[in-house]
Amino acid sequence: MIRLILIFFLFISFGNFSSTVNNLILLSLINIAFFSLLKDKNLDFKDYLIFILSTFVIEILINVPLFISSVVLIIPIILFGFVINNLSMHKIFNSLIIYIISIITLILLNTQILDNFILSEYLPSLLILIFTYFGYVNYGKK
Amino acid sequence: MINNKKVFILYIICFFLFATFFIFPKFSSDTRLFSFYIKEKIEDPFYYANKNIINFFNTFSQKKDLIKKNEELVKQNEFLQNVNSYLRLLSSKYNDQYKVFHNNNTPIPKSIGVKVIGDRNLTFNKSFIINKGSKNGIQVSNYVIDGNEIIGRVKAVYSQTSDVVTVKSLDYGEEVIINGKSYIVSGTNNDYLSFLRKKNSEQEYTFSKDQIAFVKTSSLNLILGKIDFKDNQPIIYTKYNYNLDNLRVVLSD
Repeated sequence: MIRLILIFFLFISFGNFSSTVNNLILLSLINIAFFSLLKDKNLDFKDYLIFILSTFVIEILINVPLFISSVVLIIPIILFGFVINNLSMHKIFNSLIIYIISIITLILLNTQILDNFILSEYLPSLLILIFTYFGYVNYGKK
Repeated sequence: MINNKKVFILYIICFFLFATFFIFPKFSSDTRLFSFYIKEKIEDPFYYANKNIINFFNTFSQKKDLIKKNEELVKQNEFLQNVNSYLRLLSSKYNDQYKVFHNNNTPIPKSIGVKVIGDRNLTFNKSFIINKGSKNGIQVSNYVIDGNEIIGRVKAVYSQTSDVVTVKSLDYGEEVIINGKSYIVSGTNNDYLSFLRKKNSEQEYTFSKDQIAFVKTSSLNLILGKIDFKDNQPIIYTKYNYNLDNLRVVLSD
């Protein structure tokens, strides 16, 4: 539910701020998509729905062919998830992996980030890493 | 890995949706434009709340001298409005003269103001979405302008939103007039447009640097950019940064 609300607010806030904030919004959406697929060994229906929703929002916002992530990109991600979920690492490493592959994806989408990179502007992205870790720790707890 | 029937069924649905959108780009474009329409509608209450909150805090910070200044400005505004209506009256006289000589009205193109929804920085692609569509009379290939400079052309139209491809985009092509001669130019995804040559022909360019390239429409000439040369090849430089706050779409008659 938290992820759904986040996707909703990220969708409506995209485009209303500076390009750095827009990039951070996209990074959050990519992170939600990766987290939904990689957090568990077995792919849950709800998680897959959230993955589809967040990737659909990204595809709409940056004009990429619709549903391409849900059909094509999902296969390597699931295989990668199978690898990292069988290594029984500490949750912080899992969060770090998701964070790093999200950043790589964002940079692949927009290579200009590297040219105009200012560390202080992108520091708030560490919040995403922290929330991913808390998401991992508190997942399943009621 | 996947031991869930529902997931598999959803994957199949997604696959068919992906195939449909891939084969029929019109559906994909319409879905995107509709999503931006919804996005704009959802944003409205937030804009309203934001505006009210800012106004609320501004009233606290306002001083009496500012209120006085404001009153003076209101008076000045009234005065300027009177001057404006007087000038309009004067210009209407010339309109009549024009009608006598040319047998029709002054060619003022119909246009509507538009607002950009979504990414305004053009970072991910060289196109953007505007908040007016076919209901407002916009058609595919209408020009989007800032002042008299071309920003782009309408690529796809939905009822309340439209997709605009900017002059920088690879998808943009145009016929420009320089020194009375027409040339075909195309966008390059950079800050300039390049000239297209006919196959097996050596076209001679008679223009020089800093000349302005015009696009002739039925009622007016719009500016596309300035001529420059790169590696001895002519190009048309456009603005590095667009001002997307005050855009208008020129409607076709």
